[in-house]
Amino acid sequence: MAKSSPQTAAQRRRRNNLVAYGFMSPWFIGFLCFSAFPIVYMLTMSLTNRKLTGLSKFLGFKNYVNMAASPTFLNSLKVTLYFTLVMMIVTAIWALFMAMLLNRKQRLNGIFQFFYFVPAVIPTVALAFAFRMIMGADAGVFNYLLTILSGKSVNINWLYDVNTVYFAVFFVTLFTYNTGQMMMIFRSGLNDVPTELYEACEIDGASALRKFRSVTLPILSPVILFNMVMGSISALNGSFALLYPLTEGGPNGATNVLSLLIYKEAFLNYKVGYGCALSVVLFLIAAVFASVLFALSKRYVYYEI
Amino acid sequence: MSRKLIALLLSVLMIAAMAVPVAMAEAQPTVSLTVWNEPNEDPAMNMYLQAEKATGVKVNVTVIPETEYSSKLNQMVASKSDADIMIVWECDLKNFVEANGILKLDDYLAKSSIDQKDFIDAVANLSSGLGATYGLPWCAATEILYYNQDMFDAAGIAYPTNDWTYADFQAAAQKLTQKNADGTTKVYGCTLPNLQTWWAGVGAAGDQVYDPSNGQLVIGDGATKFVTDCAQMVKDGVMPQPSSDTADLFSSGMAAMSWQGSWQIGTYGGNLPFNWDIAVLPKDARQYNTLHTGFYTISSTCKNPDAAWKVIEYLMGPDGQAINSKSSGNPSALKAIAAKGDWKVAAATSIENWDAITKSLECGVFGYTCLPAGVTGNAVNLFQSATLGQIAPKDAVSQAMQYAAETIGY
Amino acid sequence: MPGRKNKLSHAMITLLKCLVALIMFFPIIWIVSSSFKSLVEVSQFPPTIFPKSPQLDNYTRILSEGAFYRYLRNTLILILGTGVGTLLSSSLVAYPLARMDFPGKNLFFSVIIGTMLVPGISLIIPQYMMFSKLGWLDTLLPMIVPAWFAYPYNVFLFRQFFRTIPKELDEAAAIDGCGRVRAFFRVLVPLSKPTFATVFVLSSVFWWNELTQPIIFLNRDTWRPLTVAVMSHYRNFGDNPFTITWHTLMAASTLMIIPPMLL
Repeated sequence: MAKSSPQTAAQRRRRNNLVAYGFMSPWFIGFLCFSAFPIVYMLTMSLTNRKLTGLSKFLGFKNYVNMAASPTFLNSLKVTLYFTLVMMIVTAIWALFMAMLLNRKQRLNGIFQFFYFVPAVIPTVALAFAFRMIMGADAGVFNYLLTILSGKSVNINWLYDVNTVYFAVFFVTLFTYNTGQMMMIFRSGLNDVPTELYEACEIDGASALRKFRSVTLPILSPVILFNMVMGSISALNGSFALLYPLTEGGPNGATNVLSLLIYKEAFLNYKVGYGCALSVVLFLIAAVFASVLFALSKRYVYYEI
Repeated sequence: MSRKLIALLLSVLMIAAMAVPVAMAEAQPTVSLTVWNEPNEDPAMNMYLQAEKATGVKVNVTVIPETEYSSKLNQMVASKSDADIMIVWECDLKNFVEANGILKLDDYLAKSSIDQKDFIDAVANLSSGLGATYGLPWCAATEILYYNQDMFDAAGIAYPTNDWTYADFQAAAQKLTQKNADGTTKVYGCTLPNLQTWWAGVGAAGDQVYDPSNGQLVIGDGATKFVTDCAQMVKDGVMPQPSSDTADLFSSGMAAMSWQGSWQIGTYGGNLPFNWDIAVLPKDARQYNTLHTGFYTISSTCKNPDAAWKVIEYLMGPDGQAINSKSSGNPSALKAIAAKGDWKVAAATSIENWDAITKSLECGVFGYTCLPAGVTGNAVNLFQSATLGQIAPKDAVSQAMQYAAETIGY
Repeated sequence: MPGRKNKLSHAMITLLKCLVALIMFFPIIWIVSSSFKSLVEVSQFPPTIFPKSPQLDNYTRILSEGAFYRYLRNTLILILGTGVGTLLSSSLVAYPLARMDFPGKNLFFSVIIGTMLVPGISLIIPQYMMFSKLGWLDTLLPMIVPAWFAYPYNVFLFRQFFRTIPKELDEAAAIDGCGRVRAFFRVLVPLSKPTFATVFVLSSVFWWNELTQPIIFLNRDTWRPLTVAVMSHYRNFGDNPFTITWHTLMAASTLMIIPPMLL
């Protein structure tokens, strides 16, 4: 308004774009320094046999060739896909369940929310150690409780038996920071569902299940998408922080997911170049997961009118 | 007038600026030192503090968490960050030499009072493998057999001697196992070998474990035999299954024997509610255990290697070693100093067979500790799976070898 | 009739809620109870929930040492430094992505999401080399500075939220002569208070518990946050360097997070 001279549409658009870029400038700079440069460096390292001490020799694609021939890697690939898929679904369902329990207007809701979120606050390493003790075969509390409840002496070696380790591990993932995070986000998403829609359903005599399917789920779908994407990323990239202290790769490699393998190869075996090659593969898997989820979203996700 | 004042001020500043570096050079020399456990709280037992007093060189101790110690040190060498004295683990010594991260100590040693010939053989072997001496061991911890004397008395079995054989051990373990009415075990004959002592068993069964000439893992029939034995003992309830809980079965009286590192003596002290003693690990094809230590090294980025050497010389001398032995319970790697016996933990009044430690040192080698942690960890995981019957011992061994071949010589 | 049915389902749901609460709280019970035990009792069999000889010794030893308060201060600095930075930068970056149209908008958004897909651990080594050359190692800078340049996760969150605010408000502000920047601060921010709060809480909790980055980027004790201290200082807290007393500190830190959580 202060500027009395009229601007042309093109000038206004130019100005608009500059303002937009201006707002985004922190990201530009940060991306170049903290993301782009390390990513490029990592890619080049994957073509060498760089060791943790810095010694390095160019290898071309040899790392990738060796990877394909390594039974450890192939097992890891299989385990990663299984683990990611199941963890993503299990934690999302549990988080949604907790968020829905919290969705009612009850006086003590604050306390319940505190109890539900509090495990997320425990550092992952501490959580893993706690559960290692709880799930011990001889001295673990789990078996102790089961023995009391069932009368028979229960000695299940939860974390070392290939048959029970998955159940045990997925149980532990319900207590992680990521699940708590998902719950908080579901909670704020549920708050946004207009109550009139629920009332309209009730007038029509819909059951609770019908309400959930026809009202809650569609309105929640963008949030569900967000959480699924976040869940898959955390399962793929971040799971090693939980799995390393918990199972160290599991009985006979049953929980040796790719992110854990990367940590082991780069930091425990000093094979940084190989670790970077593995990271590239992990990134591709993550990209595939994300693309599939976004593609599915076009069919199932319902944005605001 | 003001111009003159300014000129005066500037010249004063310049002189001061020149004087400062001179002053700093005459200040106390300082070295930084990295280690993975906290120095003792008691000043008399803090060997770094005592080194400062004795040599006049200030020692800045940086504690890096044990879980990240090795990888952190590697990265520091890669980025040429400062750390003048690094206490290096066996597996990293070779890596750092290859990366030119640490200095040769031979010249310093030639002029010092430390008698190189007095080191235990394992040290000499390691140095010859590397081509020169790059690090001096700060102590020598070994692996031994712990046993519950009360249980041996109750079962009427003679105490283990330092010449006990593997067959003796197995027989005793069977007899010492006590079972409940429903067949589950009440008291185990022996605890399962842990991360360290699996290798003691494998080596005792005859495998070389570590080949210093090419840095490879070498296991085969010996490992298969030992793993098969352990698997059988787990099946019979003589040994417990590998488990995730932290219970120490030996100290809580649930197992009659245990194969552990010698440093547990310090933890047990006089706290155990029963009579116990130690012995050399049982002899199979040979007597074998792995030595554990850290090596004092001087980083190649060190700006004052002479000062660093002074500190190391103190720490490896009779005073420094005495303090280390007393506070950690581990004998010195120098035989003359170890003979003084400072390492005997006073609180462990139950022990009479202190010779077990001296004898264990003689047959100890730097074995699996020289291999990357990923390789040895992977192998132990496979051994544990075999004891649970998840894979055959032979397959466990061959998979461990395959993974090692993929990793070493990268 | 509907009243009675509601009461029954209401009661059942409350029961369910309590059950879930108990399950979720269980690891905490375990950690806290361990924190009151002596070292010998922790590895006892059978395990006990209520320690036989409860002792405050673990806590008094930790709290009476000056080092604890230094670690706490470091963690708080870290949380504040990253929290404020991320609120400011992530919201700023999300604004044009949610509200404005400009060439390359979708491309940038895809790249932002793309960076999230890269495994964090593999970037640590190049970042370590970079920070080493900059001389930032041994300080909290490697963790705080990137926070001021927008984390993709928070950008995504803010963008999703900004999209739900009606565009009319923006236009009203434009009519009143607000430039974009003013519109952002005067209009959008006040309306987004809940999102800002959520992001701050999530970020604080994340950095309170973060272990990997501080361990890699810090060497000396001066700037160490609580998490690293637990793994090193408090792990072998005792006369013998091999005893593990981590549970004591874990209990302490968990209890300290309670006040903000009650919000």
